[in-house]
Amino acid sequence: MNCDEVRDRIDAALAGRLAPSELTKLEAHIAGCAECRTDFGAARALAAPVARLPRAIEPPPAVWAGIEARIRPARRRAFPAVAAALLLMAASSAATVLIMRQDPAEAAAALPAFESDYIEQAAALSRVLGEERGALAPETIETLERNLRIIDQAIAESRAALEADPGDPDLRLLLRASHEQKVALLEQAARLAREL
Amino acid sequence: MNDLTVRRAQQGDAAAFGELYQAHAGRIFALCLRLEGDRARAEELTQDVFVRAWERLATFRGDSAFGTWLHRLAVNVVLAERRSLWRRGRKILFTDDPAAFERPGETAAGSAGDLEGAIAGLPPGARTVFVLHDVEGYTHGEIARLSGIAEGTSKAQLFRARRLLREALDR
Repeated sequence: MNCDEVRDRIDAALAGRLAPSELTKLEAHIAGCAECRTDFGAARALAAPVARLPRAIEPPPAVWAGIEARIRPARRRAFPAVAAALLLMAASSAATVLIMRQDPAEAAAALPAFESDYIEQAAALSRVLGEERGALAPETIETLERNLRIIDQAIAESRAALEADPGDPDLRLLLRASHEQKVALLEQAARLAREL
Repeated sequence: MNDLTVRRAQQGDAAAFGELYQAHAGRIFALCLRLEGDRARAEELTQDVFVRAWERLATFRGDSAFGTWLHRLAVNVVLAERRSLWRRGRKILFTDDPAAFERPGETAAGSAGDLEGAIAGLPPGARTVFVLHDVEGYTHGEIARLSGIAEGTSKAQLFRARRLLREALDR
């Protein structure tokens, strides 16, 4: 058993989930490896104090007050928001069909792992949007569709650049930012449709 | 707390959403506080998480428990806001001040308080992985997907965090 294998098994050993033969190998390695002995000791020393940490810490009342202030006006502003949205962005039934055409599982297969969450979120929002699409004006859907195309192009370009240079953290950040922008746009459109 | 409360909130009932907040705020605030190590920032993030949850309620389909959905959303919000601050070139404030976890009248065991302070004092990357893995029970694969780091990096950060914490607690 090498160091990586030992470290992968430390938690299982401490939880009593390691087979006796594996445990013997792990103990033999630890006896002769100071680094792994340190990691094992640290994990063992922390297990009980971590388990005693409270699962919940109550926030002060001002936190809910702030949330309430942010969610209630949003609903009262629904109609002005609709008017602005008609000018700025979003909506035809054809657009939601276009949004939903992409199979999330198929799309995620060839992507960096972190993208799958965004694709799932976008798919879920698109489903909601699909159900509420009757509430949106054709012009709104048209604008939404146009904006989504721009963002999808940015995602495709970022992804292609990342494939060429997988280690570049800025490109990963850029790809994430584009996904976040897409989810935010769909979120805005879904909320708008729901509030109408 | 039941599915009916979630459904009422999904239909725009803010009072029902308030009930959901009461049931889950402690868990979410604890997560934000441990991930950020800064009480004021954790309060802001807790607000952001619940506002985002309100906006996305329609996407909750009951495939998992509401608390699980909310927790994952919270991790996403915290990490996304951290990236956003980084993109805008703003310094992210982290504290090594254990007082960030002290509350008037709190009677938590001393050792838990010491550990909270030591977690707050970890470097951000190590703290994130430690909190998600050892405190919240996420796997390295899940952490890698949520934070965009490699699984090997997550493992290395975890062992670094544990060593640093043990040293801090032994001092």
